[in-house]
Amino acid sequence: MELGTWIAVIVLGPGALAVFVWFIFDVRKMFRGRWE
Amino acid sequence: MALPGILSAVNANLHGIDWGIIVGYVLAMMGLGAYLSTRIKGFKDYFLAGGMLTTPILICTLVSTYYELDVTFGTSESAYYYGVVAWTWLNRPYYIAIILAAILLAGRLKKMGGLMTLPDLLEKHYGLPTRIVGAAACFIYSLPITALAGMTVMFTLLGWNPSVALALAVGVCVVYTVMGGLWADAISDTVQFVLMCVSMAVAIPIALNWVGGWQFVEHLPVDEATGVRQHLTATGGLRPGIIIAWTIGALTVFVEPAFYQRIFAARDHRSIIRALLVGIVLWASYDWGVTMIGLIARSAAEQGLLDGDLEGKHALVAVCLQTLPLGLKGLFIGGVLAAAMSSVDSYSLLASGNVVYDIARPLWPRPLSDRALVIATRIGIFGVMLVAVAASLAFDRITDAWVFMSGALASVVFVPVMGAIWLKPRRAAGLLSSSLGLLTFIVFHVLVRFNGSYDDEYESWSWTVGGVQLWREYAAIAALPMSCLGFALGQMVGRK
Repeated sequence: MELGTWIAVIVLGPGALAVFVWFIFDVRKMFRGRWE
Repeated sequence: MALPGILSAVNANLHGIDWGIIVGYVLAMMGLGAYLSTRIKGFKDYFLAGGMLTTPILICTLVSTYYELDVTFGTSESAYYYGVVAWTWLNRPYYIAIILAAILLAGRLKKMGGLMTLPDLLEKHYGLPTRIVGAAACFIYSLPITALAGMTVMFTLLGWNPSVALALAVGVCVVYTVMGGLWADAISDTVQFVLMCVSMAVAIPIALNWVGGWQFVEHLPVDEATGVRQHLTATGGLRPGIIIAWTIGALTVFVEPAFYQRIFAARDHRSIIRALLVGIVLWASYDWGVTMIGLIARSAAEQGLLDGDLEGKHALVAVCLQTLPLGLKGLFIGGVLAAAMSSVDSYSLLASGNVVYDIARPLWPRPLSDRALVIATRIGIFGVMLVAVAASLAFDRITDAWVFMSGALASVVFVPVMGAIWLKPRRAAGLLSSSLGLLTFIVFHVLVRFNGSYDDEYESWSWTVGGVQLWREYAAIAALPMSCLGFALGQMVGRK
């Protein structure tokens, strides 16, 4: 229970922020050749 | 302190920083919609973001869209009353279904090509009538009734005028979705995703510290008959029928219109499969966090830190607003609001697409241009909101609406869609299957409602036939075999 909770905190905090940073770096790739 | 007391104190102490976070978030969403509206070139751009979505944005939009307030409040409510079963049996079946959908369906659907919606798939295999029946079921499911009802509950709890706050929140969603379509929806979902996840990550340790650390479990109630703390058991002492009904509910994952829209909007099949698999880790973590807060609320109520009469649906808000410091309250409210808004924008776009693209377009006497489809879908979003508000009046509780909507979707489209993906079906199989599923679902509801009685303990309707208690929640369980029967009949008698 304790381990699961701390894993959840890490996934939701640093993990979610990492996904967001990934998205920021991915934006250019997503729009490449389309809106540029 | 009673809940109204807590909330009025919290509301009075919302600082300028808290309000600044909320207002800044709302303005950013509006600006985003306005910018993206200048980039929309056609209907695929508007409804499927041009089919350009990559893995990280798919993760954000999938995770945040599937979380409505009824899921968030419902999970913490179930954890408050029953314990960790809220995670093990209310939510875990969905992760298994999503893994199966990612591995077995996503790639196959993406490779089919030329599809934009789930009814497109139905028409391709079964013809126009099945498309229309399926689109109608998708429309009922996609109406953002539960998200609107959840927001109303939250605004009432916060002591805000629910009508004004709801009109403002929905207005913001409508403005940026009407302008930017799925682009605005998906990009706004990234911000909403971060808000909802981070606010939960912050709230868990603070709430744990407030309740006195891990010893809080020792204050959870002990069952007098068995001497067991049911809150810590996998089934929570619930009857098997409810657990089966919860598990069956996970079948909706295989026909979830928002999932299909994002599968078709993905850049390639690898992007969507990766997004679904990463998303499961985030969904499971968020559900576990909400479950923990529900348990903490129960322990706090047993210890006298919260009112012993606290209602389960208030558990999450009560704990978080009681424990979070200045600034983080705004983050938490923004996070909960974000979870609701990401669902309202996505499902209002989907429901409008159901009416305009799936139903009106093929029935229209002449072909509709891309521009006409975009304009009609934009107008349709306003109509969807009006219908959703009117429809929400027909349900007393959020759960009632969810049971009806998800049951209707599964009963009508699950069997035909699975048949279309895995078999070589005959056209009659789809129409017979969806029609028989729909008919059984309606008849079951009518029989239970008019022959049965209301159970105050479980807050639901049941009808006892030959010693067997039939609960309203079992409607989809009855409809699915009939839908299978219809499919089999269609395969036998239909033309190739």
